Amino acid sequence: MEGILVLWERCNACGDCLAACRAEMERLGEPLPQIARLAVWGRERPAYVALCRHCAEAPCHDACISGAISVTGAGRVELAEETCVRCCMCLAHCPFGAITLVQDHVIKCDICTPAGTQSPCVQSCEEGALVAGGAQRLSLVRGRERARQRVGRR
Amino acid sequence: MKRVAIIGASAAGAAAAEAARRLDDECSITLISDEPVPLYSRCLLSDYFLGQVGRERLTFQPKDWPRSLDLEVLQERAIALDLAAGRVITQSDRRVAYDRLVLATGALPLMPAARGLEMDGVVPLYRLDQVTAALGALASARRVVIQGAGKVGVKAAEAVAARRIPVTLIEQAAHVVPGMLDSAAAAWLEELLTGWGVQLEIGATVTEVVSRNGRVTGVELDSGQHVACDLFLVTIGAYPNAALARAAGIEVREGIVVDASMQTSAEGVYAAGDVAEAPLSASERHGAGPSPPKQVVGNWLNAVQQGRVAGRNLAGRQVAYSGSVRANAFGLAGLPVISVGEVEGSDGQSWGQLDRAAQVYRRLAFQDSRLTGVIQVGGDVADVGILSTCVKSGTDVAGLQEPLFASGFSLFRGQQGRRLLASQSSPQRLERVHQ
Repeated sequence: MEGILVLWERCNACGDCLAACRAEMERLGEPLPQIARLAVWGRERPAYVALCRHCAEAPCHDACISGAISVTGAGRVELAEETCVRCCMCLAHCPFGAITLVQDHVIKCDICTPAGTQSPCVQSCEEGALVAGGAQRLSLVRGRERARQRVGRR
Repeated sequence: MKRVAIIGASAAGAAAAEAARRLDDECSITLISDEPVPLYSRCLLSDYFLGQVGRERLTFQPKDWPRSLDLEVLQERAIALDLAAGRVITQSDRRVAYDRLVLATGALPLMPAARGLEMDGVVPLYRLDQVTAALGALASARRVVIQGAGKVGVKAAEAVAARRIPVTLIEQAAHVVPGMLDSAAAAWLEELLTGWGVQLEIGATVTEVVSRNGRVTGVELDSGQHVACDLFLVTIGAYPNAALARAAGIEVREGIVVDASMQTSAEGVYAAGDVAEAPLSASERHGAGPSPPKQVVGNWLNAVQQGRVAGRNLAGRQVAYSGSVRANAFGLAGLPVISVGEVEGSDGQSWGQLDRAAQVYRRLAFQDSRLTGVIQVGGDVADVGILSTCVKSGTDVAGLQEPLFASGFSLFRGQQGRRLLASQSSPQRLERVHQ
């Protein structure tokens, strides 16, 4: 299973990920490239990064009444914008605030790159706040980060 | 080889079939439904009525969905259960033997206590065939009356008004969209509806359908007022379709009573979706003691999650349902309308504000130091999911009321909010691989 982990304690709100996302959406010819598929809340460290984590048993998928949200075999939670009816059930249930409402549909991160590669947002983050990979690797990274913080606080 | 029978193929029945097949590729699964399979989305019927979604998009599962899960589909009505012999009896007198049974029979539309409902031109807006009939009748309708101003009713009024057909919307409660919105949010929607030319009759109900030659010519209200119409649409809600279970002696209160594993009072028989009276989530229990109160909470998300729990348990896993949450959302003429948890009559504190200039209403209800309800109409809705997660988890948000009201994202600034967000993003969430 793939996912993206956000170590938002590291995020300094520089906005590089947003720019990287917009540029990639433009390059891929996706609709609304001017809207990044993630958002940064706050102006300094730690800032909150609102980004799809591709949850297992994703509540947005369970709540979707139109069939716009689907889960791939690899565990990516994907959104078909043209099928969305903008009912907002997904938005009302996303625990991460990772779904954005636009004019005709909602929009979210589908993970834009093939499995095993790093998305432009992840590559762009110099603070290491975004980590992509399988569940095992993310679990490891998360544990290491927790330990690091505990040591740092003492 | 285990034999599984599932009655009902909408959200809950389909989720149960998928979950059971994922865990057990040997068992036989028979899906009994008197509606089309693969499922169509009942929630999309409003958008279909509005003309924004075509017939082909109502069915969003692939055509080969039953085959891909190796399901046997019986497209007919189940008319009785023989619990002792473990058999479902269908309309064509087929006997379907089962070891495990899921009752996902959904709900049936409520009708008002009015005379003359059998007349031509009286159409409940509940099933696909009914909505299709209503759409056909709308083409030649000159005046329409809609009873019931819930989510479906207001969207139907929007649809009729958009065709420039005079329409009267009747609601028995004190305001439109009761149960989902408070009076302030509803007042705003009422203004919008009136602006589109919808005639509102609030606090009223239809007592008689007036007809000539078997066709509707109008309705009589309890106030004595007469409203002329040639099409009368009914959308006052639905009640659990629990007749099969009741007749078989399974415990039924409002719906079929189930425990956290979705099992009914009969061993090996499960119920899920709009027919099930299931435990409420932790936050909705309001400290009601060790055994959580049960309630029928009909919405798509609860139906999918209940169906999945039933499917896993009947396949031999031991999975507990996390509990139902009252949560609903819809769009009215592009305006997002979202409601979670407690919406009215909270005895705790509430923060509500209508910003006319910005076209946004938000109301948060708190009880002690917990968030118990959210209403959001319009505005930036990206943080509503974070707020609803606070409602579901019963997180302590002491001292965070004001920043939370400003934005759910402000949670990350406080210690306990950070802990909540961190616990949500834990990799365990990712590891709970689809089973």
